[in-house]
Amino acid sequence: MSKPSDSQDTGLEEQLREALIALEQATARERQTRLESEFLLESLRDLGFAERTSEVYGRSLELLQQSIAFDDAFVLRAAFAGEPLEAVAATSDLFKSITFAMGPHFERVKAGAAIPVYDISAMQEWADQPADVGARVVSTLSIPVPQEIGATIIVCTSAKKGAFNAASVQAAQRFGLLVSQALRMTRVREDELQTALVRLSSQAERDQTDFMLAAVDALGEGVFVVDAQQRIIVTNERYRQLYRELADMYVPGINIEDVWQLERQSGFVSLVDVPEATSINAEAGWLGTTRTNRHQLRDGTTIRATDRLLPNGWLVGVRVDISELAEKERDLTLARNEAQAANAVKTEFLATVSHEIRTPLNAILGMLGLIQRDDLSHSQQEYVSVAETSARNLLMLLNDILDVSKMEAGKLALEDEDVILAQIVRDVVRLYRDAAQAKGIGLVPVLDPALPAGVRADAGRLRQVLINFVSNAIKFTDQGQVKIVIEPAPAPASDENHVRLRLSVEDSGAGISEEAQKRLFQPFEQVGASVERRQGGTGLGLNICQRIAEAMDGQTGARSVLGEGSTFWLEAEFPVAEIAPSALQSAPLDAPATRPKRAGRSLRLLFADDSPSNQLLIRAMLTPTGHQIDMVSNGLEAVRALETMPYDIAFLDISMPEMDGREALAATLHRQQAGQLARQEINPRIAPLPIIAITANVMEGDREQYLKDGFAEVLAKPFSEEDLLHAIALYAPKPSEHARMETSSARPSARDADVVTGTGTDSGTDMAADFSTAQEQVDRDTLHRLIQNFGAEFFATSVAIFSDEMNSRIGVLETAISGGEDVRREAHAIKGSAASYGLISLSASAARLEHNPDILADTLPVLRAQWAHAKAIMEALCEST
Amino acid sequence: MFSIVSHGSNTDTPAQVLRDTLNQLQGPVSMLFAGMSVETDLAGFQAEAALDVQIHGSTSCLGVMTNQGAFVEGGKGCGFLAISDEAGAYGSAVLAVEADDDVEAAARSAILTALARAGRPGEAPELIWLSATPGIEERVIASIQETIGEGVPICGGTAADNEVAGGWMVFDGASAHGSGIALSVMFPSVSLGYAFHSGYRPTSTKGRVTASEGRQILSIDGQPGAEVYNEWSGGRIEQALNNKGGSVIANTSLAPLGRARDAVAGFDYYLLSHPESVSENSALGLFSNIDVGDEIVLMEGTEDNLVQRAARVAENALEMARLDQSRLSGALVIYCAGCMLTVQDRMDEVAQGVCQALGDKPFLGSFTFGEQGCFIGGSNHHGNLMISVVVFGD
Repeated sequence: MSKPSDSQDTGLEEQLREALIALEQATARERQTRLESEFLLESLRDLGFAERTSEVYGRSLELLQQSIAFDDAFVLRAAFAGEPLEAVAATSDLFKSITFAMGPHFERVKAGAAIPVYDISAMQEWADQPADVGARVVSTLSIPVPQEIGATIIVCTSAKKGAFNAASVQAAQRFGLLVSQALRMTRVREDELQTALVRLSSQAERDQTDFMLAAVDALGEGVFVVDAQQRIIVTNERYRQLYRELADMYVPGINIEDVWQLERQSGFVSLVDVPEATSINAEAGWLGTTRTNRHQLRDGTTIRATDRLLPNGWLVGVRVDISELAEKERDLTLARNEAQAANAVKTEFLATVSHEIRTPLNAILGMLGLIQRDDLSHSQQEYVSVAETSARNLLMLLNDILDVSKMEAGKLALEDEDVILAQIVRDVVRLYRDAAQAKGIGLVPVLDPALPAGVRADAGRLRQVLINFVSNAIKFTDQGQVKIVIEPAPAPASDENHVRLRLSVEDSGAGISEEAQKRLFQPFEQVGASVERRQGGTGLGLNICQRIAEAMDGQTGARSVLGEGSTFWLEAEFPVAEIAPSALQSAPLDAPATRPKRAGRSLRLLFADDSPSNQLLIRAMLTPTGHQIDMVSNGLEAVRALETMPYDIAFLDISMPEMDGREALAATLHRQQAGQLARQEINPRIAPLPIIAITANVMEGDREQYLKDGFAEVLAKPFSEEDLLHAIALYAPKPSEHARMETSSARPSARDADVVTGTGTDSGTDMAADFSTAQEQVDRDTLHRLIQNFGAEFFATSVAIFSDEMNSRIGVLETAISGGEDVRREAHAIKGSAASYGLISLSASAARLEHNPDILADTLPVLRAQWAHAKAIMEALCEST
Repeated sequence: MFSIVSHGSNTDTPAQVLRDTLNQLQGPVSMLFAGMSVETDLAGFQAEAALDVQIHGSTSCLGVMTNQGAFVEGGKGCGFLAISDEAGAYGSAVLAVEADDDVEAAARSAILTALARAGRPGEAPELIWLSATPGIEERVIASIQETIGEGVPICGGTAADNEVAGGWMVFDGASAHGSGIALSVMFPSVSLGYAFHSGYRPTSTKGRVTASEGRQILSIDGQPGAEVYNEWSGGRIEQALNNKGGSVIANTSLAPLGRARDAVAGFDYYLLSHPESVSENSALGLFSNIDVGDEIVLMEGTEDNLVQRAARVAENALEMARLDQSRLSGALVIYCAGCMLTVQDRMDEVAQGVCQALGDKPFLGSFTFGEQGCFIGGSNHHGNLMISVVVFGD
């Protein structure tokens, strides 16, 4: 006798015990189900041999004994309703001629319920049976065999009372259904045989049929034919060999649906890559067409199953063993998955490393830029120049790698925006005009007039492709010209709302050998390796172009003849865009360049603008020209500067704190009349100082008013580099005047008047967006142009300055009184600055506020949201570049 | 069409509860199951019930539980479960057992009468629902099996009163018997599932019955039965032994005795016996028969187990029938009165657990002085501190 348990975890143990019991029960149930299924499958295969229904009856009783324990059994059959049930098969002679009237018990069985009788002595149906039967039977189990006509019932008997339990009933119920199906199949076969015998009455028909069957049998593929009633007409030997586990079932006359159902239920066949398709009727949608899928057999065989449903409703199926092919496919898929996984790791690594390197590299470039401002010796300038060139090449390489990484990672998302084709070409020409000039070759843009003005596409990516082509072309061309062509592609567009474009760059360079042409678009391939190394280049450019083209559902290609030159092209289809006329007001494509980089005289220019970001932009635009640029932040400082420095041109922003542009103009004109300007001290007879208004006020009449005030010109924000250079060119003093000024220009430095002189970094921009008509909140094209033309460093710096400015101005607005002058002033400033960055909605909102400062409360949240949105986009651009 | 409804209430006037139940039923009543405490107005119920309705009634300790909650407060709960199933067949019989010798004959008569009333004489029903008065359950089961064979599951629970004072009854619409059998046969048109289990686990403490008499263990391993049990259980019945006898129901409900039956997954299923009294000669009285040679194991349970177990047994019944809640129509639940009294304050939790397990479908739960059910292996048993559940599919 043991002591009581001290267990404290009764609950846990009990739960574990329960879980194990539940598991065991589930396993037992599954095992039981499987055994039953196997038994039923075996039984159906067995019964499938029967050619006569009488065979099915007898064989059923033999099979049933494997599932249910009984002493005797017999099959009762009533051909029609109301007729008595008569034995048609029995395991014992005693029951071979037994009959029953159709009483309530058998009616219930006929209706579909397997019913155990614990004692027949209480049953009315058994009351009239002979004594020897009664002596041998105590309990029974009546099993329904569902039939369309009449009734078929199997009765199992036992001499023991209540011999049949719930498990027997369940097994019996299923077996009855199986026998029902076997009977149906056998009857069909009997009918078919009868029909076939009639049909093959003539020897000629028999010969013809024999020939056809022999031919089908000789085929190496499995073949079956099914008639419109879904009955198997023929299967060949190969078919029965492939589906050997159920070969016995594929006999003429059998309903193919029954066989298919059995195949799937038994797990012998499973469909691969397709939904369940077991009914011909359900497949009416592919009438007259061929459908192919795969069957996976239980023995591991993979079958390609091709079925063709003929117009007359017959079905012809062909089965091919493709196990070896499937095996290879699996291996390949495995290998591909592994390779893709490895590639993804590589891509991620490259992206991370590139990004991490680029950040310090930007800093290096920035520092080199600062060093170049200092007074350096010639050799120092050389060193810094080499360092900067190397750093820029490295940056280019990193950018390309980053691009490829993005593309390989599937992160290349194309913008869908209005793209002005002329603008794209113009941008590229601007970018490479100097390089082409430096090599003494021409750069010729050609835009086919038959093309629409614009398309919906990703302007930045199209530009990137052309830049790649053009930079290569210039690199490998030493004489002649490089032609940038946008024209309709030879292949027509899908409809009138689309246009198929061909963007190509032709050069008259050395050409590329046929062998090298094959590798052109491969990553890291450099056609002229020695030249590439000399010129710089990653070998990724063309590959990137190809990926971009693929992302646009287009193609890239190249045609080249050694010694004659090369043409690189991209073809793709784009939706035609409706471009507002105002957006096309830029200079025509073939207008002469107006950018005399360090080509003309150096002028001294004064800019008065309170926006630091605008100051930065202007510096960036003008520094390459060699002009001396002084910046001040309000009208008062401008007036003082003009008194102390002999400027050639002054640019005054209209809206500035302390003293606005118009007031500064008035004061300057007043001083000019009094001969108090510095330039007049040098030359009293000099022409009046040209003072140009810079303004975001674009309302009708503003320009006229400013000219009337005395401004020489009005430059509307946002203005392009070309606009600015054009204005300077127009108002630059005549050379004689300038020479006179320069001879005596030893005046106090602008710094004495708190004027800041700065230098920019790079060249070229175009911000011609017409924000008054634009619908988009942010003109990404403008932002991309800023990055492309001025470089990522400049863009990041300018965004930071602009952010500070915007935060400050919004801060002022938050504490301002609605309707006040400071509201108008800040709104005006935001309007101009935002427009410079292409922040169209923000600029428009600021313009509305400027016009009506009483709506401050309503507008402020809008400004905040628009700024937050724009800032996020700009910062994301900084991050991604 | 199959329809099943249940309704329960804390009231001593069950007539209104019956009306509320039948009003919900869709179709004619095929079978009505009634459970009520001995404190309720049985005569009022019978006056309300139509005479032609087949009623299977049995008193239940303190009250009942349904999908609306537990109704045991004040010992006056009652509840009903009604079935309408024109495609199925049901038959019930409620008979008195006048003398001890009549038990087997009464059981035989009850099953044959019920089958006849179902219109299925000779046919084995899918399930038998049994309520007998205490003391005759094993003999009733044996007699039923003698009559129709052992292949039919027998489930149900023993009639109970509120204080083990002999006030229990089995009844129908016209009669009530303090000693008798209520038996129903079911041939439903829907599928059935059932489960029979306890909320206890075996300890390593065990012994063999060396002398017994009916439901009394005279000795275990040669020692007085009550003394051995007292030692096994750490003195649970010390006071009764000192008093030379007395009721021990409340002291022993978390430490019953078990006998292994139908091993599954290496674990035995245990049929429990609840020690209910100590006699002057230190014999241990049970709520079920015990035989000399039986190996008995001290079982142990916790209140938490008793609270949660009913829901799990209901889930087992669903699994057995391969039903999920969406295909469930309703259920009959038997929960041991001893367990109920042990966790009486938490009966709402018990009812809620069962309700959740059954997907808020109608059920009637009775609290009984003995439980009958069919183990997974197919054998029918009477036990104590057990839970028996029958579920009806759709």
